[in-house]
Amino acid sequence: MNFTKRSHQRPIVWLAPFLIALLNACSTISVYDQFAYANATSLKVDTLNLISAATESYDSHAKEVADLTVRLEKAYEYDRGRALNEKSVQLWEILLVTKPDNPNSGVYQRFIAQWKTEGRLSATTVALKKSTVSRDFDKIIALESGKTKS
Amino acid sequence: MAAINMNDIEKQIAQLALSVFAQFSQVAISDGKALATAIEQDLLTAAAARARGEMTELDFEIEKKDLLAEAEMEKLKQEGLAQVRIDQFTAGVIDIVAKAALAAVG
Repeated sequence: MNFTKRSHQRPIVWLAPFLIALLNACSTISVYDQFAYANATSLKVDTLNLISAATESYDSHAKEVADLTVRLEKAYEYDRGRALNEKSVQLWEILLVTKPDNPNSGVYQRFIAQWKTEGRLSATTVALKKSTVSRDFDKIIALESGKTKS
Repeated sequence: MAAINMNDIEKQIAQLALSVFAQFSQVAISDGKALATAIEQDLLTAAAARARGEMTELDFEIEKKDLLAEAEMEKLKQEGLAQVRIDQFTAGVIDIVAKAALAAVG
């Protein structure tokens, strides 16, 4: 198809802002957020450190558990506040929120309850927990780092 | 105003689709294989520990739930990354068409 010069086509330069607006309107997922990425990477390290301590008594680490839980909730709330960020929020929810309609959700809460109930966990249980939770965080981090850098 | 070369636009969009989606599918397949291997390994370790009495039945059940949760998280991650690719493709198409149109205007 060929377009030849016609007087009514000259205003095509004014198309640019509309194309930019169209581009924004077409977005289905948020862009990369450095703060969210830093949150997730930092919390991964802290969470794995806490899990390592679960071979010791829960009571001696109760304050660390409370502190980390608050920090995890803050990161989740931050991501909840971002537009077009449903997938990251859903990832956090599987990790942090025990949902009645999803018995597998709430990995972190389940770990804390397990530690609290049993007092201390076996080295094998702790190693396996670290393995799965590490990969869980990797998924949150991979999605954030895979988002388009604006 | 110069003519817009629609064949060139089509070619560029086809190349864009190939680069955006072919690479994505390869990474997704690789991620899926890595997940299956990791889950299999953890399940075998947990089953062996359970058999040796190093893990309670409750801990074993929790481990299974955690691995199912991980599979769900992988699905969500891939869905999110697919959305990113779709957005990148859409942006790329708009960019190609806009550049061609503006070049034609001169």
